[in-house]
Amino acid sequence: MINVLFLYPDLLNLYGDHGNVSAVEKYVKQCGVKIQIDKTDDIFSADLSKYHMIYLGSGTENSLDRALDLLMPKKDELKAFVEDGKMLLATGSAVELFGKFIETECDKTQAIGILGYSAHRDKKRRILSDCLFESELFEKKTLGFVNRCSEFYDTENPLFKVVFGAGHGKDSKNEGFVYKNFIATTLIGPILVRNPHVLEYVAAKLFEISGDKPKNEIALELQKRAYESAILELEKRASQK
Amino acid sequence: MKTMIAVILCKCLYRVGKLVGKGSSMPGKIALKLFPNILSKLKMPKTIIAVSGSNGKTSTVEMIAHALRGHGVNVIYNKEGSNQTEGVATFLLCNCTLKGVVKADAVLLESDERYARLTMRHFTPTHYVITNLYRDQMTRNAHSEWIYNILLDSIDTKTSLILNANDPLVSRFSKVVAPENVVYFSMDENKYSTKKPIGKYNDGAYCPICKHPLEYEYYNMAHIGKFECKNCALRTEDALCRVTSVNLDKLNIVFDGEYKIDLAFGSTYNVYNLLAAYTLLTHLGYDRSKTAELLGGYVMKNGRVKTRKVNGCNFTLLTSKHENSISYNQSIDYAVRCKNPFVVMFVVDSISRKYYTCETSWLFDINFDLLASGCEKIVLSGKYAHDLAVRFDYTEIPKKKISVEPDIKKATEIFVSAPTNENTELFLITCFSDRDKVMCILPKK
Repeated sequence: MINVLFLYPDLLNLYGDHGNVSAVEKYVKQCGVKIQIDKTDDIFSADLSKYHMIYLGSGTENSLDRALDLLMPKKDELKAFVEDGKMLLATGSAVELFGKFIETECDKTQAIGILGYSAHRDKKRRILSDCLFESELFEKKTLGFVNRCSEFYDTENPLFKVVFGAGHGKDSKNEGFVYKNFIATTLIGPILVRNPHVLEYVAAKLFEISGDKPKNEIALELQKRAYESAILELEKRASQK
Repeated sequence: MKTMIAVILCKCLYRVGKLVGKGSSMPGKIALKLFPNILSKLKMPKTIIAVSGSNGKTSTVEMIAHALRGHGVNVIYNKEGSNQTEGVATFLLCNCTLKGVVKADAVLLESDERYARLTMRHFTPTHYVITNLYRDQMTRNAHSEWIYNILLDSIDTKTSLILNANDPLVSRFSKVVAPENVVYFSMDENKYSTKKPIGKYNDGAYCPICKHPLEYEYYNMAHIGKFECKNCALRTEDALCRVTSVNLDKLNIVFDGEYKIDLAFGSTYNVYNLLAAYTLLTHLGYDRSKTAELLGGYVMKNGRVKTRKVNGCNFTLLTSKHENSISYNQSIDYAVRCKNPFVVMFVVDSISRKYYTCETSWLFDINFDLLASGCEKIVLSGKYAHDLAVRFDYTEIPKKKISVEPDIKKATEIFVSAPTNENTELFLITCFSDRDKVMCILPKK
């Protein structure tokens, strides 16, 4: 039985990010393994130790600030969760929450600090870009879109190399962060749906963490067909640039 | 002198542009390049109305123009597609005398929400209607709170705001002007309202100001409804004008408990557009009863909804906006309210006419699950047919009802031959960028 905690499903769910949780739920079920998804805005009363995975998606800057306020009392527990090898998946702007600081022009706020990176927000400029990344963790390239106003620095432990699109900064060569099973990428939306290889990776890790054995092999045919046609489009586009 | 040159230049370029089929922004662009302050030199009429927001701008502007003309006002307005600064410049310069006097009693401007602050640097609207702020074209708009901040820059404290009291983020604009400079419109609870939000996400869950939970008495669509924040007191304020009764099936509504009008198109967003127009005119001092009469049965000229026969069946085009889940949800909701069995085709081929992206996350924000009942067949087409297919895989709709065919011509054949009898209705739900790819190959009758 796999337990997943979807934190702030209304506050941090700006670009169809909820699709990531649906993807994990559907895939794990199809593999013949039981899965329970809990959604909550109240992390304070949640017992994190019973979960194998926590997920957070994109939010507006104000929503992220609110989420950070709510998360801070659980800072040490969240760190311990990652140190224990559990999966913490942050996509879109939620990545900002788990670095050291979030900075704006006028202030600097302490964040959860799972890794040493910091996010710097520019309220006048948005980084908007179709993206194609590669990573040692996955055989295939990962595609998606970034939509954020923050640039990251002190960016050790990157997850991806940028094939094209925006990285930690607009022109950086790397994107995202990975440490144990903390996986963070600023790609927005249902990236696990759009990138079936990432879904397979996440599910395999979840089976490892929970000790469940998948009973069926799932081909993810539809997803792979959509992925192939989107990759073709993106690569065609990249070669025209 | 400068003004005269700019006006002549713009008028000439506009005519030349028309001959060669060029868009409306080029003449204004050139005029602004040569004379950056030209718009502030124009003598504008006493009434300048701006309309902005995510959805419904074009329709609301059309309705306002129609009603004002009915009241005998000589109003000019910018047509669809020329709502950015340059388009507005072309429109104004082409409509003024050589001395720069705008020839109208009132100017009505549809203003792109991202460009409003640049356009309104040159003149100050007397009235500013803000329809709503939704998730819309996020690949360039970021998100609606981001757009809120951009729109905020376009608001002058002397302007009268006409705001949607049912939209929390739009209501927030009231905080920046004096209370006497704000009027609201709102829709009462009616038989289409719900107690819980419907959809794949809930943008009304939190107060846009303090991010504490919002409480709703009812929802009319998405996060549009009667709300209150117990923490900071942002709430649905009392409105100058209200829709007090709605019947989308019998196609009528009642304004302010008294003025019943017919609807040409039965959808909640259409009612909000009419209400925005009615409220502005009431605020301008026009008689409510006559305005209501003028708006009654108003048929939009912008061709977003088209009905005709295809192979003997009723066919309806519901133009929706890609990257805009509310627009899609409203179209789906319309189709689902149809009494007969129906077939729907969705086409996602070019996500935008104006820029390139292959971002399809927005499909997960659309409530396709509504199609589980009444729908006989669903045809998915365009370059992103497979992304659509994946999205439908996350609904409860049986696979056997779904046909996936990226080729639009082949998909259209499947679509038009799908009806099992002549009562079956056909709905095409797609964007401006893709609709003509289907419309031009549909059978003639």
